[in-house]
Amino acid sequence: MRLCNRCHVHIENDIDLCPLCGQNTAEIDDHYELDYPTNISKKKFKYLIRLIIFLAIVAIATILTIDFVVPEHSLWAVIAMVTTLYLTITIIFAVRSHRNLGLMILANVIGFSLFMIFIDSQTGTVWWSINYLVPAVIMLGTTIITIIIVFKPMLLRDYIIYQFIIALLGVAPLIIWLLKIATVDWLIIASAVYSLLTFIGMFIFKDRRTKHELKKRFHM
Amino acid sequence: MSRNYDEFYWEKLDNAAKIYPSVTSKKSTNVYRVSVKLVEMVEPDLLQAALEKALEELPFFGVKLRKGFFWYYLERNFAKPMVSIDHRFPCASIDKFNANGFLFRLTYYNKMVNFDGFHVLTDGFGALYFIKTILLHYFKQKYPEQIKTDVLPEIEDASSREFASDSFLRHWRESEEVGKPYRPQAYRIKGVPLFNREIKVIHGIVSTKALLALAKKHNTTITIFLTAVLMYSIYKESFQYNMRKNRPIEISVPVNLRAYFDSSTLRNFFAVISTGMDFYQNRNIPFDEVLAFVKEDLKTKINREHLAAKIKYNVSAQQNIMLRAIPIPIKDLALKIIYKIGEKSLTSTLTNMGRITVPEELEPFIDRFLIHVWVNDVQQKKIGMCSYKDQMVISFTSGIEETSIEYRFFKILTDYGLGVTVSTNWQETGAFTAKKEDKG
Repeated sequence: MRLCNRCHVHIENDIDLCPLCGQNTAEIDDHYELDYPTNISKKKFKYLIRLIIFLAIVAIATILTIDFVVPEHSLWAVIAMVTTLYLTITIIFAVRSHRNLGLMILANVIGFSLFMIFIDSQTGTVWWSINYLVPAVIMLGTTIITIIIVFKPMLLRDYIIYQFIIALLGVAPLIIWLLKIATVDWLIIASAVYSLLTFIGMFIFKDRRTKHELKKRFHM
Repeated sequence: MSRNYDEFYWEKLDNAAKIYPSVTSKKSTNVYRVSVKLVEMVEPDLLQAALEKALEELPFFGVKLRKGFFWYYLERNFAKPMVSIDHRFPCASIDKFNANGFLFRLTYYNKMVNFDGFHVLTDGFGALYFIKTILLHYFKQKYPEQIKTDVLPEIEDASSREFASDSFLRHWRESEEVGKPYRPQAYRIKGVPLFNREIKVIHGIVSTKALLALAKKHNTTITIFLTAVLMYSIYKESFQYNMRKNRPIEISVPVNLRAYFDSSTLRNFFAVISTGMDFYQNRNIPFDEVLAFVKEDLKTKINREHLAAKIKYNVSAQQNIMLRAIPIPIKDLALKIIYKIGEKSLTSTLTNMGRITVPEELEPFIDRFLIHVWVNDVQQKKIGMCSYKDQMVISFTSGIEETSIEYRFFKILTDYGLGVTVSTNWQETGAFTAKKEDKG
């Protein structure tokens, strides 16, 4: 116990200065209380994310500098920059999503597809990305979530919304195919059918949970 | 409850909770802390077992927050609730990751048991009921011979449906008129922000009897008396050095609606009323004048009719079908703006949890109860207070380094002859003194 002679209050903690007025205090007895931790833990994630962002900026600045200094311009600078951006966003997303696997699968399906379409568009544009890669990635994403739901039915409520979004995405390449951008059709159609079957499967095998989950998610 | 029930259990947020998920951030955590200081050191294993038992009894607290397309909602959390040693500052943020998905965090440190609760889950009354249930189980394990009671006396006749019900919806039709929000900008306390958004807590412990006698002498209640003291301290120590704009010092006083309306809910059931005085026009107002003003002003506001109108205003916004159909990202944005305007109309908050009682058999083992209220950029200082036996703990939480408002506040009390004991979480002694060793 300490006493502040200015505020006329007793102080329970072992501190030299009065917490109210900042004056030096006098000791009355050596019985002190310690109710709060003195070592407060600091956040580590935030620093990691800042470091990643800074490194990405350094990388992009380096690429731009080299591109500026080197006389002949080529494609590599744009591709290298977009690759750096893609990797940075993916890593930040992985750190920030806090083990939310469903969200990570969805983000990677979208991110990887867009990245591949970009690379494709920069290198000759034969649309191998839309013809083969995007439908395959979407089917892979749907399959992973289906496997999780089948083996861990308890997790259905965590994954169902991502399952539905990815399944909807499975239909998107079909539109591109109808617009005659894509040239090869078998994988795109397969992906659309697969998505549709996933929808039907959800309502046939997990009807009660699926309906309940939709009711919760869309309650007004 | 059965597994089937748990899997399909879900609950809408109550009327007061609806705003919190949208407006919560690192800057404004909307987390309060109810602490109990025991007479002896806390035993973590017993506390863990007690928490699990309490959650079985009050399953409403074992929920997690989910985002829907139109609203947030609550559903059962199957994760294990964890008791841990306190390693953060009070009222640190609770998001879906750092508390195992739960909307509360139970920690211990030496003799302290801390319950940090996210306001989405419940208000102070619900939190107190929960922590008292935990304490009952804790002491039943520790002293099986001495503790015989099984139930807490407060709520004898309430079903689990009543516990988890939204009482706003039960009482919103009781008023004819719809209350109007009060929205001019209020004076804002400014200072040097603490490092890393930590919170500085200064508890002042006074005798309940002596404080009650002092309030009685002024013909008023403890809440109203201390609201006036707080307002006067802010005027004296902050406003009068900073009088550039004509802004009132507005103190908000949350009111427990269970005292005015029939309800035993353990979810949010409170209303916020506020009182503000204009110090800009009249210089050198004496304390007695402030007290007289606050007394008159709060008399017109703390009554059933005024509170019923407030409930009606809050609920009728929620009932509007056009507002309900707005998707959640837009709702988040709109609620953020509305909340910010509301917050800017307040200078500070004083929460009085009132007299806390525990079953008689537990009394010898509990030293005191303490309430901590979160702070944000707009309201940098708040008071949470409660009394247990003869100890009234008035806790200042602060987001800034300056403590002159606290100094003035307790100075007024000591000048009236009250004995004040101060306790703090702030161990730093100053830039030129070396930091003390960790004795924890």
